[in-house]
Amino acid sequence: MSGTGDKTNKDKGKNVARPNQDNNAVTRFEQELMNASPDVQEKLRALLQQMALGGGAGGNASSSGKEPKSMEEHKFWKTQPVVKHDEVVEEDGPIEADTPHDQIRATPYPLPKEFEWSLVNIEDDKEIKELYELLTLNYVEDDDAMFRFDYSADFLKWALLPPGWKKSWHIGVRVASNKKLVAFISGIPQDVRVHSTVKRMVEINFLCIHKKLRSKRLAPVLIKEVTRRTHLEGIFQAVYTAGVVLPKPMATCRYFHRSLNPKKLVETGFSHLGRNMTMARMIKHYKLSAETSAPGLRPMEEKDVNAVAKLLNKYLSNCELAPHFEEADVRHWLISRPGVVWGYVVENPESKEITDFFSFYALPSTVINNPKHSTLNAAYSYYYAVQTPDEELSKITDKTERQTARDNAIKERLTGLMQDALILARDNGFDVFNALNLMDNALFTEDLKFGPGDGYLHFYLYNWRCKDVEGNKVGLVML
Amino acid sequence: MLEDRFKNAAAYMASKKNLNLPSSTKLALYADYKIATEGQCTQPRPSLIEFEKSAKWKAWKETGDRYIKELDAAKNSSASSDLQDIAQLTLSTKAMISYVQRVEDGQWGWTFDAADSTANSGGSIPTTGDQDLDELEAYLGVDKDEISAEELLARPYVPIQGQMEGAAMTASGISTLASPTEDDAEDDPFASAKGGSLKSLQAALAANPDIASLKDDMASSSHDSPGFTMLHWVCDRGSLEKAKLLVETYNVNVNAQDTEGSTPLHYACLSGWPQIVAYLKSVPGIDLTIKDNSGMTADECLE
Repeated sequence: MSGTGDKTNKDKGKNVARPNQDNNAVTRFEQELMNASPDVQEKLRALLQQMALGGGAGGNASSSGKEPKSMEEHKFWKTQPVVKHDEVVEEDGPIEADTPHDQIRATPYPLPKEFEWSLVNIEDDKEIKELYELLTLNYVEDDDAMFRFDYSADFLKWALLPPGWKKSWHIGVRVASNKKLVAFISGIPQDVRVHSTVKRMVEINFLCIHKKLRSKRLAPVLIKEVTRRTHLEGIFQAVYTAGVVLPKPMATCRYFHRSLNPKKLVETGFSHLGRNMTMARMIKHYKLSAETSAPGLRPMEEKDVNAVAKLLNKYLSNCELAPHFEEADVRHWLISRPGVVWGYVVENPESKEITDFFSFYALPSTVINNPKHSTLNAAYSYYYAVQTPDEELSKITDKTERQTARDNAIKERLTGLMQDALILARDNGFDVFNALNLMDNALFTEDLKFGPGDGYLHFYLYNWRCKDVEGNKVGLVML
Repeated sequence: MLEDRFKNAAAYMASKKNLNLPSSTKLALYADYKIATEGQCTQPRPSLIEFEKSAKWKAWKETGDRYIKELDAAKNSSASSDLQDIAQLTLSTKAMISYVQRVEDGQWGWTFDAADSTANSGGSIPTTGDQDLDELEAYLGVDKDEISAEELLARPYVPIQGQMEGAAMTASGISTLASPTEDDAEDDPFASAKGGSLKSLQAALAANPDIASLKDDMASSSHDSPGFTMLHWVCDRGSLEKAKLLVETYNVNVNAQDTEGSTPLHYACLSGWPQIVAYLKSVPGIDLTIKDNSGMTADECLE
């Protein structure tokens, strides 16, 4: 639209003299690049380039074709309490003090005049359908616009109505004249531990603006408004994720994909058949056993909630970014819901003790313009936990050695467990099983034939400065 | 004085979006406004599918070119005293005059109040005192020529580069499997059997009919298909049309076995292409009893 005219001219000047402040974000990947085998290095380098390009509120990772943005160019983010790209964090803590309640703006931020605020009632079937339609048609796509996330209405209810949910955090924007829902942002409350600090935070998700209105600069005002409403509830920190680089990721993970239905993945363009690889061999390569293998594996039930909560919180204590789950959270997030989330526990057949559990959720994607397939059924690895030999590990004083001993102790068990997860996902009609390389996922992805994806996920904290967290120390899974 | 009048008129027009002006008028105002505030257009021409941007760019650029020409002409003929005044004009002044005239001529209700304009000198928007809010309003209020939301919603969607902000900010972007890097396939005679359209296979066969019965004898580690024929590839990758072309037009051997003893039918079964399996079974001369090196018939390979 117009308005871009003057900016483009000014930005030209800036580009020349601007220091490259995205260097820190880039270094991490340069390291990963060094570790990669030579044949994937080039691909990685291309990805890296692509990612770095996309930074910023106005950026599109795939096609902006610009250099990474400096803080000056992050017109919106430079006004926000977030860590800057070139900032070195010495000590964890808030970036700005909590706003006293009487100083919090009492009324919603102004919208451009043809729009109006409108809370979306997630419990109302008609309104959730409006939200579902907005997201289905306008939410995230892959770089080549072949797939678009297709969160189901039941999924949205699960995601947006957890214990402690707040109606005032399901924020919609409608066109004033015809009441059409054209933008949305949401928050849910969650206790999150970052290193050693536990804070009540808000998880921000589902920011979506109608494709045709992307020029209206609604995103900053949506973010300001959800922040204001969060402040009104006495919460001053937020956690959010994005595929693009903004100021400044505190952790970065890569997506890995395990083919369950390789033929369909090839036909939809999700994966590629090497020039000299046969489909027959690919199918054989990804073939899984008919049955799961862990004795005592069964769907999680209400009676397991207490045991799973303990197991999970203990397991997550190894992470540096993790949620703290109360029993109510475990009940909500981890007991199976048809078509949405699957939770399984392993009950020791003799002792009846719950020794492990895992879960995955369904997030299909619409396949855009494919003659044969309309939906790609993707399962995403969710929370899991295995027992760790804590007593033995506590005897090891060296931190690195202790981590290695821990990894070795759980690797086989976890790999077997996730193999069962793959089998169950296949039996439930999923085409692919996705996982980020967070938690201990790196221990099993190679053995279980996951392949690296072209997507990364960056984790961000709002108004909380902290030291970076390695991918395998991230224990927070955002939907 | 002219500048005050211009700013005042521009502010007035920005506040009157419900005038329903014809787009030619809007574009003329836009062009004058841009030239007055930024000078001649130096931006690259936008892509043609970006109708809105293209139209604006064109108006800005062409009006600017015309004004520059007129100014030059005035300078060169400065002998004529009538034109002397015009020669003194700068490009931006010329555009401001034109803008103010258009607004006056349009009779959209604008009148110039000098007192009002000095109160707002510099053309800045009155502030609210809330720094946060001012910043946000400044951010939201950048666009004086915006089209309405309803109008935008009614249009067909044309993706615009660099405008994915809403989606890109908290969502992750969908990851797909990273594709392996491969050497160029130009020297591969089987390329048109492995991928590409039916036409590409037709062309390749027309150019060199011998390849229809060629056996893939490249036994390097990157090949897991020694002894493959064109038909093996086509049946593995699942193109019924290509299979028919090879069988019916080029009479290839449907019972050809690769080094593992597998026939094209074995691969159609292994890869799960029921239509190709049914078709091959209908071909006269097909031998359903052939076993591969592991002792399996094609039917026993069915998924």
